[in-house]
Amino acid sequence: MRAAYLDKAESNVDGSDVAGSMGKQKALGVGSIADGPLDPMAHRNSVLYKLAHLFGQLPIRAIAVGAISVTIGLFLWHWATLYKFNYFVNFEHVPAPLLVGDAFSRHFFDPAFHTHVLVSLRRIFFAYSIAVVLGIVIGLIVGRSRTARSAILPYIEIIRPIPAVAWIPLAILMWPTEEASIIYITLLGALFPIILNTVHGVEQTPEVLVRAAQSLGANRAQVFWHVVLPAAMPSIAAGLAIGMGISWFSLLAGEIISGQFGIGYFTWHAYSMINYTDIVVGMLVIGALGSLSTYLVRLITRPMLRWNRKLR
Amino acid sequence: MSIYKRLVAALLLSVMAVSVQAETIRIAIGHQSMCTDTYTAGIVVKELKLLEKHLPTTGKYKNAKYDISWSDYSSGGPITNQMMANRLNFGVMGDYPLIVNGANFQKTDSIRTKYIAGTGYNLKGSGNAIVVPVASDIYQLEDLVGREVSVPVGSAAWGMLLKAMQDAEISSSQYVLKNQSPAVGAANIAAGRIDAHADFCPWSELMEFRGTARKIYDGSETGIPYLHGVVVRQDFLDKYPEVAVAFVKAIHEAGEWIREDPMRAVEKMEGWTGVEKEVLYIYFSEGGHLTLEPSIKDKWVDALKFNHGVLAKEMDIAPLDFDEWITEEYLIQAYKELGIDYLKLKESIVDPVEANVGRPMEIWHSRDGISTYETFPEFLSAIASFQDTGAKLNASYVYDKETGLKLFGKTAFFVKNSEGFTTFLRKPEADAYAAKTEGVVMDLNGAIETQRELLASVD
Repeated sequence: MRAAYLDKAESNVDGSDVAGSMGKQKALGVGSIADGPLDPMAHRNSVLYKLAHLFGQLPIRAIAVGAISVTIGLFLWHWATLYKFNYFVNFEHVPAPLLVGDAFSRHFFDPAFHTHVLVSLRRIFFAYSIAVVLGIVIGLIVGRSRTARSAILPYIEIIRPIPAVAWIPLAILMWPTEEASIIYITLLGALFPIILNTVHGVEQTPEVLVRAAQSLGANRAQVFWHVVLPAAMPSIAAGLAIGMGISWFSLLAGEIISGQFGIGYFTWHAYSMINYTDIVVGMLVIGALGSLSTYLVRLITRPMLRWNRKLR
Repeated sequence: MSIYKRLVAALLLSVMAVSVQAETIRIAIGHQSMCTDTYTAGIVVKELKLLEKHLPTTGKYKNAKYDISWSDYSSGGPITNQMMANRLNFGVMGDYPLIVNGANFQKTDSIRTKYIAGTGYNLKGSGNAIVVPVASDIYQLEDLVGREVSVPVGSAAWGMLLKAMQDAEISSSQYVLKNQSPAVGAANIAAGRIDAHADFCPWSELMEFRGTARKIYDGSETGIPYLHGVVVRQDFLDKYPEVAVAFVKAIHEAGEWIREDPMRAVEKMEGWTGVEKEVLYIYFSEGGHLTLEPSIKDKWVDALKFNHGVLAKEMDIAPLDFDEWITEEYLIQAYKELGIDYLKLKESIVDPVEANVGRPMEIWHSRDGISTYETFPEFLSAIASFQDTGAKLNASYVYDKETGLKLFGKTAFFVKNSEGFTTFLRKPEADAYAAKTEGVVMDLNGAIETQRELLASVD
């Protein structure tokens, strides 16, 4: 994908019409592409294409295969608990899917459970929003400036491998409220994938494009805005999606200290009371919310990648 | 069949024969090094290798090899989880987690645990306590209305908190209850981030000793006995009942070893667990919170039933058949073999309120160890003179007039009246006593200064 994009970009730069090339550069940033007979993508505007495209976008086949796969998985789980499968992996005391479903449907109408979910969603929202802003800003700076890179990278490399749970005691001590501690632990999870992917994206910006823009009289800010940022966008978007997944990951660690609410707390509490059914309910809800929010991130970042897809 | 094949077959057979003979018995124990009351079935037995000492080596155990492993956990829940997975066969924990253990096993179709022995107890429920940050303006339970209280939910401290609030007629809507593990709760108290925290031994005293917290309520006021015990998987018991008997003997011996020389014991235990010896001394010394004696008394069963009621109401815990769960079989056998009258032991109960009347105050000199003082003037003068010589004192201990509990001198409230000094755990009682007897409430330093002035005026 990237190779194709590079080819395309370079062929643009190689073109003799310098002004036209600049126009293309701008188009990359804005994400729109000029119509016209020269545009190879013109057929995309036809009604027929749009219809076919719409149908093609509905991944019926994928949904069917996925549904069958999940059904098989559920059946295997059911079967393993029913016959107390015990060969290296022991299912003897694992709660059956029907039991879990039963518990889930009970919790589904329980206002207390709604509170757990809503509180977690709120924490994810705040932690993730902060991580996105911080992560992209730090990532762009580190990616563009050698000095900043040397100064900031050691921190990233040292703090990144520290697991979220290890932060618990310090997070309590350092932050003024419990909520802030939890949000801090959660945002740490999201922050590093976003930073690193942003850095990676910035580094991937073809130097030729930058030089081309400069030779056309673009100043630093313009180069940054019209060339570097769009070029880094696919990588940033990937970082955003990964970061969302990992922030759920660390949320559970953070919510160990929440003491009252949160889906992570719910699961942790079920563990201390040895309530296996609720543990599985909590795990599955975290999984579902995690994948749902990751999907949402992909959906939101998609428009920013339009230029990239069209060049594919 | 070639000679070679015969040889291999013979070799295989002989290997199998040996493995049948030398059966390896895996004894995996889950204990808690941050829960003082479990030490006599946990860390002490482990470190002094008391189980090894009592394990059977005759009869069917003649060629048995023992593979003993100890795993340390911070609460009972994970131990139950490991027992469920059959990675542990012995678990040592407090009363509430014990019930969660028994009830969850009875919920399964096939596996069970048995409650085979206690470790120690406090008749009135000391060991659990509610603390507040030192600088807090909270001095009694009633002050907690509208405040946030954290507690490890599902622990003995949680049961105590619910009972205490109920007794004080504070409904659950009048305060915010948060679930917090001991370490997190202690950190929150140190940072002054929570109004109060309720916890089990040794956390409250640990926080007091480290100077971060002040007790406002002691579990003894609920009057519900606080106990710990040992649960064992039944499949293990059926196969190796003698091992369980050996474990009970080890618990007994661990208790004896501590009673023999509490100072030596707490110093050793500090090395094993990292809990300060001065804190452990509050539990394990003569007049301490803990009576180390493993019998299962009728009163204990009543207390456990009460606890189960709380868990059933608040946490929807499964029913528990106590008759099936609790067994004295192994205790009776162990004490028979030790030549001690179990029934007599079972009937004896130590009540700290009565047992601690007239016990001497203690000062722990960092070099010379513990010295005892019968009267307050002696005790206070001794501290004063130690201060003058610049000697380092580890701790000092006095007793609460109300409950007979051993206290740190530095956290006690002293009342000075015409008759002399009296010490209290809590400020309200000290205030009331001072008002009644025209006395003055002060802290340890105030008491020392008062004593100095008294001496000076005599001179």
